[in-house]
Amino acid sequence: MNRFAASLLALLLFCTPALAKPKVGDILPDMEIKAAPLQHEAAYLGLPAGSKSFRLSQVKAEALLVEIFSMYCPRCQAGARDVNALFQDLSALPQGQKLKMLGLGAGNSAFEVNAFRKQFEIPVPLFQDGDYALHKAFGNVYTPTYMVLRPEPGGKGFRVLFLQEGPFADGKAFLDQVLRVSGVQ
Amino acid sequence: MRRLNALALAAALVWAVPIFLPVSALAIDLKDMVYDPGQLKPVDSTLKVRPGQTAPDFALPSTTGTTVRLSDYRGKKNVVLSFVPAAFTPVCSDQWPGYKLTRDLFEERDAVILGISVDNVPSLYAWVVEMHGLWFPVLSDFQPRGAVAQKYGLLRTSGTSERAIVIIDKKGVIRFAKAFDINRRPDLGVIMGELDKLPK
Repeated sequence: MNRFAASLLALLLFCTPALAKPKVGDILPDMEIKAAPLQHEAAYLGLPAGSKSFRLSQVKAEALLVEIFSMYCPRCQAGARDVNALFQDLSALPQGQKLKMLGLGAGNSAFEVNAFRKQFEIPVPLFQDGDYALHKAFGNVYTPTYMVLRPEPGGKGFRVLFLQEGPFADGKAFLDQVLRVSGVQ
Repeated sequence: MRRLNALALAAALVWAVPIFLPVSALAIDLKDMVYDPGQLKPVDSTLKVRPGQTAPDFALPSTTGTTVRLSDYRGKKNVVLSFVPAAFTPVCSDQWPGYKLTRDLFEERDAVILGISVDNVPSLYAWVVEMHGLWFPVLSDFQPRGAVAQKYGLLRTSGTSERAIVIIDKKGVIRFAKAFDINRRPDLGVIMGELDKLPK
């Protein structure tokens, strides 16, 4: 096959992961979050104070629990206080130092993320994804979606250990499940 | 060889183009419940109003059975006209729930929203129920179809309105008017920024 066609074939293979929803076992790229964490968020995530952006790999954690949400999503609104309780319960555990949570606001501007944060007094670090770049990289999932990600050795991205589209019913059971799949001790 | 290259290019374009198109994040509530019209031409009309003009008055039926007239708010409230294209479609179906959540931000700015689409009243009524109710009037621009949207220059050739925001002060003067990309929600920060410019 000539070089041109081979290059296009490589392009197709590269593009495919950005189109398909991820599943357990998939490797997602190490994404850049183009948003500045608040001071307490930077401290929680182990990021340098004053960071203007960061990569997921820079978060000081053995695993990440990521929520893809939207200020506009009714289920995200209805479940916000449950997510707050989940965060508080996780943070109270020793494993809370190793499994860190964060939320990505699909299609939300910084203003919208902040409105959501203030309305529900959300302690979970939240970041805007105004142009849907991260939402696309995560496979255009519904909101809310929860994923547990573990960094791959050698900085080769993050392995999906868990994925749930839709809210959780029982916070305690969900936390147990997330801790179990994350493998953090 | 040229034919192989052409075939490979066509295949790559068909496969790869969707990753460059903007998408919206669909709330799980709406899965299997809304009609996805796909990506549309961002704006398909020519605005007929501009800041500084008196807002064209109108009276439209609401989902509560009353008729709402724009001039009823003169001297009382700043008005945000939120035109949306169609009930039970993805972007529209979570735009107004977002305004429900941020009601206090509008009320702090002494503003009321009038939600408008060209859908008929029964359709809008069902949609508002599906959104678990809204705090602001939802008005039907159905009969004559799109007449108010047309008056403002916000009627698309397809017969739906644009996704537009028009901000009118308490004197009935337009202070902001824009048809946003129909495929994306307007940034709430932009709306609040424009409301913050109005006299207190």
